[in-house]
Amino acid sequence: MTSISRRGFVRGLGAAAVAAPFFELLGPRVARAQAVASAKRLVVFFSPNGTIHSKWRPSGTGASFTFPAGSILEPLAAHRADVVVVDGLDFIGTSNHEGGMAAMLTGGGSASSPTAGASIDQYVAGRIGAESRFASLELGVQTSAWGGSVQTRMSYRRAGELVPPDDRPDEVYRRLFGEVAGTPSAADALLRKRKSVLDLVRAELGVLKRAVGAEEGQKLDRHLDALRAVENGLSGGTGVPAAACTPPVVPRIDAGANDHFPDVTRVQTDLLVAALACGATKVASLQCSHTVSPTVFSWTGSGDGHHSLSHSDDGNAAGVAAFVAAERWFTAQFSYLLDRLAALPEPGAEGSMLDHTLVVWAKELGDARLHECRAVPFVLAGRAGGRLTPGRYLRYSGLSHTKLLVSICHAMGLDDVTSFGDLSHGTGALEGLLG
Amino acid sequence: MKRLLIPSLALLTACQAVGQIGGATPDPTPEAGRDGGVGAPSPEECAAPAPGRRVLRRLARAEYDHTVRDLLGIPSDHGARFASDTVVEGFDNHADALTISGLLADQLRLAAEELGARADVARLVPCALPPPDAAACARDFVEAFGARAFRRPVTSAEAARYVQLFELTSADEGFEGGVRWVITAMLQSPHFLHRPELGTWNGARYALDAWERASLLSYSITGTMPDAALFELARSGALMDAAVLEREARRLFRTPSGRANVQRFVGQWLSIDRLAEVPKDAVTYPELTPQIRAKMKRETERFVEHVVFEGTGTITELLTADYGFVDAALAGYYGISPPTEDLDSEGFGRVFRGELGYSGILTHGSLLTTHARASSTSPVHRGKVVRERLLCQPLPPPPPGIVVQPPPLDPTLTTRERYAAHGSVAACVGCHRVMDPIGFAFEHWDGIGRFRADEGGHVIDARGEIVSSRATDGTFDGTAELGRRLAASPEVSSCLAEEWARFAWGVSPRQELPCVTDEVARVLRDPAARLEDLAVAIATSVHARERTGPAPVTDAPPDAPPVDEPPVDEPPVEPPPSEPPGTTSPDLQIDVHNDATWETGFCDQVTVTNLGATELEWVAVVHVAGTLTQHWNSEADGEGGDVAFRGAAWNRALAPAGSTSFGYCASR
Repeated sequence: MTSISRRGFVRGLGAAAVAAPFFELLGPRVARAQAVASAKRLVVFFSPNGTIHSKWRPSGTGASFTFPAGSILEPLAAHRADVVVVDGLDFIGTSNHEGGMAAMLTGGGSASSPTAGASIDQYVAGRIGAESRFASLELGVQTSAWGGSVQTRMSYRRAGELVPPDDRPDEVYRRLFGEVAGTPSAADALLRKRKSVLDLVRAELGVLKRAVGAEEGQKLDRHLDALRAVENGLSGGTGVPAAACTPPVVPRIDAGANDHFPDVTRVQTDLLVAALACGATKVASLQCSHTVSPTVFSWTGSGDGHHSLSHSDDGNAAGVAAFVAAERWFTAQFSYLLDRLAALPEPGAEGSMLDHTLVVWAKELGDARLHECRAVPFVLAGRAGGRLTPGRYLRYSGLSHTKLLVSICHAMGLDDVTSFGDLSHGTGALEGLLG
Repeated sequence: MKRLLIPSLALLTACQAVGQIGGATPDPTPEAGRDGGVGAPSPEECAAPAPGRRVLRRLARAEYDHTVRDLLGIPSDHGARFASDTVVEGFDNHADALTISGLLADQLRLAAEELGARADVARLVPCALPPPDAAACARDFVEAFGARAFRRPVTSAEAARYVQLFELTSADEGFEGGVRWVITAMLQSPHFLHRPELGTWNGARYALDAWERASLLSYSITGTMPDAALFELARSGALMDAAVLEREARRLFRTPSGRANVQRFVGQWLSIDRLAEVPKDAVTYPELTPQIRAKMKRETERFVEHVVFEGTGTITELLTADYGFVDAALAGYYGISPPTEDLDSEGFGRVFRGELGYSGILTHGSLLTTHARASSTSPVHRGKVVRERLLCQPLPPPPPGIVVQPPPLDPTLTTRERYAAHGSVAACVGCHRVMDPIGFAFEHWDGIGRFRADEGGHVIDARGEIVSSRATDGTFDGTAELGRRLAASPEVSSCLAEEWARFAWGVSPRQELPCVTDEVARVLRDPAARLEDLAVAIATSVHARERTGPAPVTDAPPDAPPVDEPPVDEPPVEPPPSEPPGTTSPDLQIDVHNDATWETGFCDQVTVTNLGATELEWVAVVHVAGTLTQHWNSEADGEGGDVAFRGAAWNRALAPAGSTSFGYCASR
């Protein structure tokens, strides 16, 4: 062997290491249609343990609907004109907590699906997030006391690869805003050194990969993939900070303590909005607890865990009332998120940030008492840059929620998407949702 | 990565299977094994238990913190703040689950930068400050610190990269700044973050080398990097001796890190590491303050410490002891007499627990509080933890389509009466008959771990039953009788072995290593066997020494040029030494594996295997296309070209079918 071929090998390795395996995996990047309006950013909001339909459903239909007094969605009344309530979508072939959690954002996709088992947020991030400082940001509220699992995670980078949210507001703040260097030249020097470290680690990964089998090599591929995300985060990306780019004040609290749940939800929402306003990302999610949540809603007067409440039978009036109170609290948090986005002007465009955003409130079960994933409740919000006409209550019957996932892609300008997740659940967008 | 999803898929499959029955009574007779119904293998199948697959194991979060503490000499809670890893079958260190997400990579970077900045450079570098010869000191530091960070010698290629980083960063930040950047980079290195259990092909299996053995032993017994003594045994190769390996396992088990690691196991095994945050209703249970939760954790740690290291060390003592450790506040909480003698620095002392049914860890506040509902007990949760964690029989989730409301609180009924529907409604009884009747035995213990003589004036019926087990079926009255039944069950000891192996090996033992798991479980057949014996057996089993896997595809170095590459100018071949350095032993198979290559040098790892029928003192002549700069586990005759390598004192003799490995680096 000659020194020439060895050198050539090392160079080739470096190039291979730099190439990102993931984005290619999702198919060719298609130029977004300029003529059709679309959302600039996607926000996914999650709250657990299904619903009680009779307490959730608006009355009326289409553009003429109201939130009944005392119902779960009533706290959204001020945003009635900003939301689309989507009823009657099923997670086909899926039931129970774990199955619902897994299918909710992936559409049941597997490695062989066109979406490779990615969740909607990660898929969209892979398509529109490459230029951002963070392709996506995942924030959580007490999601991890049981560790990561299919129950406690909703985002998938690809089939089988869970994406963990960050449950600690102080850490989120530090990642987003905490690394302001001094002078520009000092910042440049620091960036250069950090990149040198990343280059060194990449070189080591390349050598190590040759010593391990294919399966363990996947771990190193993921590590390489992750380093690329780190590098983007260091470089600042190309997002345009809004005039309203203001880091929130993060209180020093134990983010895992049950009774801090409201405070953590509030500050994580503020951080999410700030990340969007500052152009740090275009895709963000806020996951409140997880399916089978044991959270005790002491702040709404309940003494039992949320999961227990969610199983209250119709004959158990006190239990149902306690569950509805907890659910109305989640609605108020969702409403607060919309308040914040509606109050910020869209940089470089007419209207508010909410007008140019698609917000999706997802749940993992339909009727929690039955452990079924039928008529799973969704609420969309924002105008998606004009693609979505809000102020409607849409009732479907037994359609696959994968159609909604396709529509979300279209609202994000990804009109080439024809199916999302498990192909056997059908293709095409949700009729009547987008303009 | 496929393996990771198996547990959840198994659950879904079970659920769907139940659903297909369509309203009929589900019969979820617990699966025989934890990993999807794999039964115990027959003795014939296990004549020669085979080790498992080759893996890379990323440091678990706790291991990261412990390793940083031992490597840098400063405390770290960075790992505890990292994004939670995927938990597989109760443990957060499954090899397949420990990957690096974008979030974690960023957290690792931030931690590495902070730790680099906090490191005590004067203590870590092998020279006085300011260094008399900065370049030499930096190089020495990279090699010495790198060997501890990577838990094996640093190759010269690796060292060169870090020296280059030092030169780049020290140019404007000085010597100390450069050292800090080297530390920051090494803490992000895959060689620091991942523990290889890959081994070297010996013709039949992959033999873990002494460094891999040292790391596996150290992390499985102590949850941290090898200490100086263990490193020395790896360096000398003595760790390849099974007796030395066992001696070290026993030594490490009793170190402070070994003791802490036992607590880490127990915390995950019984899920009591959730105690601090498990939500409870403050109105029902105002007494359960954060301070009491912390004291309950301490109570269990102190008890486990006593049983394992000071007491008999048996499962029986763990599950049936009539004593515990409390301080005055916890004694007041439980309504028992406070300890009066031999109090430790935190005021904890040993007390006899006279409550009816007290039975070791089974009746600890930590376990009882974690496995209960927010404002009441839960026969379901308590039955489930016994079924899943002590009998290793996983349960399917409730079937869809039926209302599964937990019985509402009702002051006119006992908990047992409220849960009666589970025993009479057809759709429920199938599953709940394997949980609730175990949980009823716990009814004298309230939702936050306190004894109660009655339930709001109602008489408590604590009779229970285990059904559908393999060897533990029977009735009992209260937790003391349950504890004795469990302690005497071979099923429980086998399950404990499986759980500990899961923790130590980071794989699914019953599924992947049924025979080795049975072998180590046999240790506990002796009722007097100590848990220490189990931990040692697991840490020294064949899986801790070898791995299986397909044979390497080729002996050629992995960076060999493609065969169709046009010939290139070969550099002139060095003239051979005047005398041949020796000849390769007959019957010796030589496998050369390229470890690293850079522009001016390379490192190879060589495995030699005795294919003959008699022991030999091996000589391996290997062509080294350059000049040797270092070699290990061998003596070398020659500096380049054909070099004759002989074994070092400890690996010179090779038994038939035996193999050993050595390595070298060379410059070109």
